[in-house]
This record gives sequence, C-alpha cells and structure tokens, in this order.
Amino acid sequence: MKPAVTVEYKERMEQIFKNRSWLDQNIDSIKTKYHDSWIVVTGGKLVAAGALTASEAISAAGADFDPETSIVFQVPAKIQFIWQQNKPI
Amino acid sequence: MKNFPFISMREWIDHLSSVGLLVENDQPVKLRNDISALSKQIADKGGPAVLHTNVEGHPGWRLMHDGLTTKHKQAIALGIDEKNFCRNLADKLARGPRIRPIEINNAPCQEEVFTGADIDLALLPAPTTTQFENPPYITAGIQHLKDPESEWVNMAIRRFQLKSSRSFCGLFAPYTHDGVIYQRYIDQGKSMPAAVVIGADPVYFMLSQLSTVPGESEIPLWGAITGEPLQIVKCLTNDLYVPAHAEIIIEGTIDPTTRVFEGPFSEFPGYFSGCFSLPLFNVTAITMRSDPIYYYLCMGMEPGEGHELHSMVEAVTLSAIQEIIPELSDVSILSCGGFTTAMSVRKDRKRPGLVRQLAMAVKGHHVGRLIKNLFVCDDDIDVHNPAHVMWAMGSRFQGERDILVINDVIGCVLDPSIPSLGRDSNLISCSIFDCTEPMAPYDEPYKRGLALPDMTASAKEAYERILKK
Repeated sequence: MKPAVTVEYKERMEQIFKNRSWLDQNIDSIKTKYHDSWIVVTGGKLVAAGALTASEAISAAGADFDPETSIVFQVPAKIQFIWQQNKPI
Repeated sequence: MKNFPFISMREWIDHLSSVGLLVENDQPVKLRNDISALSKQIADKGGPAVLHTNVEGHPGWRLMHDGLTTKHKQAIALGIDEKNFCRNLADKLARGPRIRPIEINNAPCQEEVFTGADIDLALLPAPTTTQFENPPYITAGIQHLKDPESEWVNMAIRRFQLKSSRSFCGLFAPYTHDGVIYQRYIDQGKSMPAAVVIGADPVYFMLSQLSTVPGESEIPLWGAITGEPLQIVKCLTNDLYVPAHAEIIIEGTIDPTTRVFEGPFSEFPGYFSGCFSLPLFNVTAITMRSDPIYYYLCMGMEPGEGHELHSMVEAVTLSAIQEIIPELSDVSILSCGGFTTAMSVRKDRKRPGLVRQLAMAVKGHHVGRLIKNLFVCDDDIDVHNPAHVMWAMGSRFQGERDILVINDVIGCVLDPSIPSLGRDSNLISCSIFDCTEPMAPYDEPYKRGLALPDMTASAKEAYERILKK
C-alpha cells in the first residue's frame, strides 16, 4: 500500500496549523498581556487566557477545548533566543 | 540474516528482529502520547526496538523507535566489541579509511516523489512527545547544509516543529556548524538549500551526533566504520546529496530573513526548552520509499535513546583530546548529553598539573562545548559506572584543593540552569572535580592500595558451586 494520510487526520493537522499560526503571529501581544500564564487557542482564536495552570485554562475554555487540535500554551515572559536578520546574538 | 554493515534502516530492522531485539506491534497506536510514553518505558525499564504497523491516520506507513537505545544494539550496528566500547569506536574512527561516497541512480529514497501542490507534511506520522505539544515535531530528522564557500557539508540531528503543510522550523544556534554555514548565506543575502533525512541506516544516524572539526564533513566517516562507500543520491530540487537507502527525504530552502516563533519542546537536559525565534524551512519536495518507515526519537528526561546515542560523542572526544593529552584513557557522558562527563587518566603516567591541563584542553576544544561538570578519575575507575565515579569522589576528593571552576565559557542554549537572555546567554561555569589519587607527598593513605580480598582460584570455584545450588 502506498503511503497515505486519512482525510480526517489531514483536516486535524490543518486545524492545528491554523491555531499555531494564530499564536505565532500574535505572540508579542500575547506575551505582553498573559506572560507566565496558560492560554488555549482553538479555531484560530483565543478561547481562554490568564490561567495559572493548564487544567484551569482547559476548564475555562469549556466546550471550545479540543484535545486533538487546541493549542494549550504556557506563555513565556521572554523569547529565549532570536536569530537576528543580519547577525546572530 | 544480514549482518554488519547495515546499509539501510530496514536491513537493521531485519537483523534486530532475527536476534530477538525488535518486536512488531500490529495493534492501532495513536500519535498523540502513546508512542512517546511507550518509548520512555522501554528506556526506563529496558525493552526492544518496536516497529508499529498500524499507525493512526496513516495507512501504508510503519513507524519505528528505540533501535539504538542500548550500547549492545549500538555495538552490533557499529561492528565493534561492546567491551571497551568507547575506545573501540575511537580506534575505528581514527584508523578506518575515509572512503568517498558513490552516487547511484534510482535510489530507494526517491521511489515516491511529492512536489508542488502534493507537498503535505501531514503525510508524515510524526508523534508528539509531551501532553500539550502542538503541532508535532520531527525528532529524528538529520539536517544537511552545504557551505556556500567550500565543499563542506554538515549534518546534524535537530528538532523540527511543523508550522504548516509546507514548512517547519529547526533549532540550530549560531555557534554550531549549521549556524556558521547559515550565517554565510545571510551575509550573502541568499536562501540556503537544505535537506532533512529521516530513517537513515544506524551508522549514519549515529554519525549525525558528531561534532567534527569545522570544515570537515561527517559523511566520509561512514566508510571508516563500515569499510564500504556510502551510496548517495542527489536531491531533486537542490544540489545536496543524501543517503540513497534512507526512508524519507525532505528537501527545501531556508531564507536569510524570515523568522518564526517556535517552542517549547522537551529537550535532552530533561526540561522543556524556552521559546525561540528561528529560521523557516520551506519544503520544495518530499521523497520517500514506496513503503516508508518513519523513525521517532523520544527526547526529554533521561534515560532515552537520544541520550544513549552520545556514545559516538564519547569516542570522538576521547580521540580528539588524546591528541593533546595522551594520558587520557576513557570518556563517559554521565548525564544531560554531556553536561556531566567523567574522564579517566592513566595512573602510571600521572604528573603534577595533569588534571588542570586536561580541563583546559577539553574546554578549549569544540568537542568540550557541552561539558559543564567534569569528573577526572584515575584509570582504575570505570568512568562508565556512575557509582564508581562517586566512590572516587568520596575517597579521593577534597573540595578545598580539588575543584577548578572556569567561568564564562560557551555552553548550550538548552541548559536550564543558565540565564537565558542577554550577555550571559549560553555562557556557563565549567566545574572540574579532580577525583584522582593525590600525588606524593599526600599519598600515604593510598600507598597500600585498595582494600580487596585476594581472588584465589578456590574462592572462584566456591562461588561457582554456590551459584549452581
């Protein structure tokens, strides 16, 4: 059998990529508001924020939490390392 | 049954299966948590390599892990005696012939080709390692980069977070060889061609752990270990060469300016790394065998396969430092991928200042970059046995005279114990613990030697007799 991926798994990954992409693009504002707390991103938007633990954030998200596709994320205060455009740090 | 050398991962799988070191699992397995948790149990409690044939969401795929989790398996893969593993491997690397690879056509790794609109990284059955990891990471991918100014090709295993169906980003720091090469493309304002290999043969996979001298490729060392030329094939969308018998090749480019937010990830020091802003790998082609096998490496808290693979680093460190300090006799990475390392020196060649000279040689050499805590023992200590090293510390060490600390030397960006930003980023204190027997005139308590009973022939016979009862 040729290697394949099911439609269901493919769609799941598309949702994950969408959620992560939203997080990546909004990380600066997310860090400012919610650093050192937990957030949940589902459907390409923030559905829970400011929680002290992952469990609290998942509870706060309620029906908006999808265990397979949601991003459950502990927001850092700073980005640890950055490749500079023209020279490394 | 195919024996050493194994030119592909599936020859390795066949051999492991034939000697009872691999188990096939045909029950359904989920990519979220199941595989990583199984792998951790195998590392913690001991267990075989596993080949899953029923992988969630991926018909036609197989997935393997823990093919090299023990020194026993590694010794078979490398064709060396497991006893004195480090020295045997160091000898093979030093004395083996550097054989140029040979290019072949119709490579197995290009039986299936996905380009253009057909590229989809969801095709890869990449397991997650920890509970909230989303998207998943490719954990056993070997990144290949070529220097724009020479023929130097660097290969190194890196973590890659999937970002979209056609892109991912990988962590490599500026002071690594990948980083040095990438910086040259940035300086020229050009995109860097790159390839990631998944599912190479076991020797190639272990060589990806090495850090050779800058400018020297790891690939000719394949011939030093196997005695044969590596078969390679040119990528379809760039000019890099990859092992022809690998399972999966991801080809692409990394442009000099795009940066993407990445992390966190479960890393080898045992904690989650922080988050990074990293270059983006844009995929131009995915090629693979017609019935591919995905390889997964479980990273995080040790023990784990990723940690055991550092036996290659031990051998290279021994070989490199022995050129400067010939009294060095063995090297053992005790934890955290090298953060804590033990070395032994020849007791019959000890001289004043030897341990300090060894410390300077290690931290001044690129092979010593990750070493943060270095225990130096005499060669009557088995440095691969942590209990022996601790015994040497208990019986031969005094903090007042036997600790040397070297501050502000390069370490690892993934070390959780160092400040993560600013001037001190990546700089560590390297502590050297001299656990050798003190030399005269302080050696009075050691003159009579170790307190051990005489192992007579009759005592050995009595022990054998008792065991049989």
